[in-house]
Amino acid sequence: MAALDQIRTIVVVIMENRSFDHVLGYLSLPQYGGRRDVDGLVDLDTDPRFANEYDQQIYRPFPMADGRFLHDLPHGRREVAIQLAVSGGTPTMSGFVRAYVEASHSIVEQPPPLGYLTPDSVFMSDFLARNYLVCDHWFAPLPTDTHPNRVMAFTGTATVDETKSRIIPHRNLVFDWLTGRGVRWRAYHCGFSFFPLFGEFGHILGGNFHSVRQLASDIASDDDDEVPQVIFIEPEYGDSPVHFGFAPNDNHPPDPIGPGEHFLRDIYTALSSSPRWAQTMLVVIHDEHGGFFDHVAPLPVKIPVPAGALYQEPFATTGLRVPALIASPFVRGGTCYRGNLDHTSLLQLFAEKFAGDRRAYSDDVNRRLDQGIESLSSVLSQEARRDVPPAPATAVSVTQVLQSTTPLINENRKALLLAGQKLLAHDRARAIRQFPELVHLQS
Amino acid sequence: MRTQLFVALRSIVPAAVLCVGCASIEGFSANPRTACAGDPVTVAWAAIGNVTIGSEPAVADIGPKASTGSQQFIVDRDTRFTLKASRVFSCKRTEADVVVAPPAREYGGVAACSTVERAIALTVPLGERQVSSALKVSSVTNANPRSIVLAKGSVHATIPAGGRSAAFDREPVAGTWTLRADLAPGESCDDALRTVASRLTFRVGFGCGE
Repeated sequence: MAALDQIRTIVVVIMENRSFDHVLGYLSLPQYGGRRDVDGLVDLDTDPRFANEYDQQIYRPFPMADGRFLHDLPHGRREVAIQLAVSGGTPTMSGFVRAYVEASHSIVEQPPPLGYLTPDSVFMSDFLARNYLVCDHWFAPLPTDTHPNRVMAFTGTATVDETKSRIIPHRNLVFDWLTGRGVRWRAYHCGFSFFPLFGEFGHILGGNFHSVRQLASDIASDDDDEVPQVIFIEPEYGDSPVHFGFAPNDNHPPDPIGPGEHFLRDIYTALSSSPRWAQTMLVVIHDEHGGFFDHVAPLPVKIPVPAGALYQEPFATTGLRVPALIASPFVRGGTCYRGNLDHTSLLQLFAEKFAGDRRAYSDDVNRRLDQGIESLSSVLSQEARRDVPPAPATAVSVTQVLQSTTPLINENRKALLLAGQKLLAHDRARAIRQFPELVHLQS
Repeated sequence: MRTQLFVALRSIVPAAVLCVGCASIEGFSANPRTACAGDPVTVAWAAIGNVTIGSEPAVADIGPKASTGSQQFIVDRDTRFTLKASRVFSCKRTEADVVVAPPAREYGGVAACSTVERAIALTVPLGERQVSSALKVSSVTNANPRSIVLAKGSVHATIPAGGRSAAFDREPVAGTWTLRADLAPGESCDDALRTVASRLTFRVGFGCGE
């Protein structure tokens, strides 16, 4: 039986705002094993691909300890264009410091966009990379920020090109697609969810949304005919309008990455300690690069502006590479997949598994497939492994995130606030039962 | 606690009103970014809110300032200048580093290729934003994976990939540098630019004495 047929549950975790080089680039450095199969950081002092210029001065990537940043990093559509620094039609990937200085007015010897993390800080990502599979050419679908890239992940269609405070227009929402084909799905959230931003409150309050605190007990108690075939697990977003029992663990700067690493460990531990792990595929990606440097140019993927979209200029490339890790008995340990993937590779995977045809999700997804974006089924090994590597026992300190911080008032926070208010207006009692923190918001 | 305060305020004050009380930073710089000990550094700022200029280590005359202005400070060692702007509802902060006599720095940027000149070339003007007029060259290294001709004023040198030159020693670092990498016979601009990832750079070793 093919690997895809043997997988019964696909678990998707989408973190926030980190680039591949920033989180996993160290894998290629000699002091961390020098993996030549991974397209990461090499020869940092001499390789011209790693030189970033600002005001004639050259800056290069440097090792960075995890911690809180002074500023969020710029990563909107206009700022990404600066970062790509296209010259003669070719992205040179040399404008990350420039974009940061222009946004923050901060010009320091070690500009944060060029910092890369090391295994001490990303202990769980390191564990997954060494014991399972890295995808080193997984790109954010669009060269812009959170909302458009998450919309691509959950619909395959780019209806917006920037993060704004609004309910997001959409079509082909993954929940509708899965429900329409009788696929059992569930979404786990820490605090407030991203999904109310789609305005589909029936899904949100319809029983498929569970607190992440229920994950382990659900896994233990679900009958075989109840086990979800697709699970989405959401972190606690730093931009959430109110936090209630969870500290941000979504990896979004200025917050550190340590809480997100603990979050991933909890998820992996819950999944891998179940007998059902033998039929499980865990996918951990980031929604977009968040303003951090990556040396690989986006892929040329042209898509027309879809009907009803809230922008005029079409996208001609993907976004930047993001960290992507696959853990499953159906991937080989310590390997890397080099094929071109983006968030719509997940939708191709769903189409392939649940409709028997990777082209069965939507024309918009197929347009990307025709330009080289593969289905995630490409990463699977036909031979199932029987070992289940235990998650690292040593935790990293995350005390910095527990300090009082000033909330950032950005468009995503405003959007989540708006979605929370609309959800309360839709059905206050059920909304508060699902998301207790909403009691602190005015409807 | 601040989040809760903010949420509470959001429930009673329209969002647009909140921004009236927000601080913002419009600009901040500390130049030159590379200096010699005892050099004056010009710190310039523009902000909305109550402004405080700080530094680490502390230099003379830092503290509260007008919301827009500039001032010279003397630096003796690596110094991080900070600008804090605060108002009723928010506080913004930013930083600018000045490095005193580092061993070396790399300069350059994205280069252009000319099919007529059959060369990749780049001009790198180093002025008062980048370097102190007191800084002198102690060595120059070709940081590119191909040979370049480096020139400044009447001095020029052909330097192999990764090689060093003493031709510019004791010259002021400030001034206009030009870098040129000739195409090999039959080589296209696209291929040549690919070898240097569209960049040309050079490293300058610094000295501050006579």
